[in-house]
Amino acid sequence: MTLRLSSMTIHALFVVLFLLPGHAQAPGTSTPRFKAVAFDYFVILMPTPSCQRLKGHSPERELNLPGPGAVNSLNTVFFARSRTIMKTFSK
Amino acid sequence: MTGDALDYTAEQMHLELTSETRTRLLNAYLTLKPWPDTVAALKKLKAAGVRIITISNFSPTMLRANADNAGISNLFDELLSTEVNGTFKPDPRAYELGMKRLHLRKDEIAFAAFGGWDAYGAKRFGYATVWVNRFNLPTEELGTTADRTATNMDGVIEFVLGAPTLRKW
Repeated sequence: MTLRLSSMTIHALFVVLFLLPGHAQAPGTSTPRFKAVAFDYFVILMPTPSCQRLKGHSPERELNLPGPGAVNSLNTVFFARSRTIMKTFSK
Repeated sequence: MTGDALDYTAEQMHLELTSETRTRLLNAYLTLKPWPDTVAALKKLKAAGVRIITISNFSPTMLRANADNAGISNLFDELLSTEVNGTFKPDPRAYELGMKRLHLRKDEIAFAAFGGWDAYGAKRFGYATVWVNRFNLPTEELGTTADRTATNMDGVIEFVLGAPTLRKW
């Protein structure tokens, strides 16, 4: 059996497949999936001065601290403390 | 908390932390720099009508000082500190602050976490969560994973605003 499609049918199919709202839209042109977004601040800001060293700063040298690990260690301990709190509440 | 962590670290590393050095180090936490991709991403979210807040364990003073120094205060609807109700993430009461302040349901809010532990806490609370794992760290072995993992703000934008949706047949 031969399937014959009229131009109107083809046009209707095209509209259904490609032009209906929600299809083939670029990011940001549709309604956002969420009304709000809450950020941890470190998603926005580089978390320690040690990260800024990557940008050419050296807080250890500026502060006359021995070795390159002092500020990194601060970061490690900071998150270790957070992790400890997390374990407390996840029990 | 930051001061406590610094004191502990100095003791652990046998560093003599003078009052002046301690103050200078802690003050460094008032002028942190934004990641290179954040300002443009926040503007894009704001332009799309998405409300933007923080849920941070930073004190209100630290939140405000950093935002002012970075020139991004106007991009936030609120700089929310968990100190407001005397909790710290990952206490569920800390995440709940977002719903109360925004007057929105849990499913209307997305949470963007920097730390894997924070992604775990937010997801366990019930927020749709994107983990911005900028350092490509391993996932926490806690039995709960974020809805989405990204390495930068592009992933947040796609998660919140939605990706192109082509029907698959």
